[in-house]
Amino acid sequence: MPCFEEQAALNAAARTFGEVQFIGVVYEDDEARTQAFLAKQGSSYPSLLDPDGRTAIAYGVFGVPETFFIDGAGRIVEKYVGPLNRATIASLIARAKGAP
Amino acid sequence: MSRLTLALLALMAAPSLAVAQPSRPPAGAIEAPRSRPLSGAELDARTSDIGGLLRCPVCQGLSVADSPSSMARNMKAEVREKLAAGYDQEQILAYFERSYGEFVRLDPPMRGVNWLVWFGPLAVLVAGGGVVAWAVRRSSRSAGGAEAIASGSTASDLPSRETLPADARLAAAVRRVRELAYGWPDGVPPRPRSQAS
Repeated sequence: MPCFEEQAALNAAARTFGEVQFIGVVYEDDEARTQAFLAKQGSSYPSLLDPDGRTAIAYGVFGVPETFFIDGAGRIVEKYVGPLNRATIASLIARAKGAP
Repeated sequence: MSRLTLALLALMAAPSLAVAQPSRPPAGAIEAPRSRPLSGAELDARTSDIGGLLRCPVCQGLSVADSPSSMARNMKAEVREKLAAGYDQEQILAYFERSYGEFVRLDPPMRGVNWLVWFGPLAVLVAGGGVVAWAVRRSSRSAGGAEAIASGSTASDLPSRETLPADARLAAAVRRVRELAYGWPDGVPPRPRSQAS
């Protein structure tokens, strides 16, 4: 599953890029299943529930997984659709940092 | 089932910035309500109406009102909540458009290149009609000219069943065609004998 695949990459990236705040948003799943998933896969960043899908709607999410890169001013500077790997995360963070 | 499906990465931002997002829409996404708060049957009806104008983002061409998906259900709940708070239809559509772009509207609003979507087919129809009218006028004018040259008469004389081209082979071909088309080589049946005298 895409989210399972990228979880390891996100965990590693969150440890590598200490200056970046990583936040997971759980889409269409409940707390118990999320806790079980995190206990099994591990997580080096906080995860939040989105019970009514409001965050997903506000961000214009079409499917999962999607990743948004937000700059210090709160602007979405990059959006990635699909599972990420470590190299892609690193290059997108570099690009987001360079964004005006 | 989806699990950890959406990751938000806040670059050099205070954690509160990203954490603050879930409970309310992005700042400036929607202004103060412009209508009156709805309730009861009217609220149900308007929720369904506006749901019918919104495209379900995770479905294939279904409206939010028609889709059974959880995404559509959540969107419908937001529509309902906003109507109950007094937001009008345009404000609600604009709210979803901010997230999903114009794609989320099943009827594209009449602005920018969307005018082409609404009036393009009509313009093409009118232009096509103009071209056909021009071509018909041009061809009838040139046919009249050709007849005038062939018969030596004026350009206003139109070809008729009584006239034949001056060229003998062409005239024979025309007579054959008339015979096939009308049953008579001259294009008109011969007069009955009783009237022939």
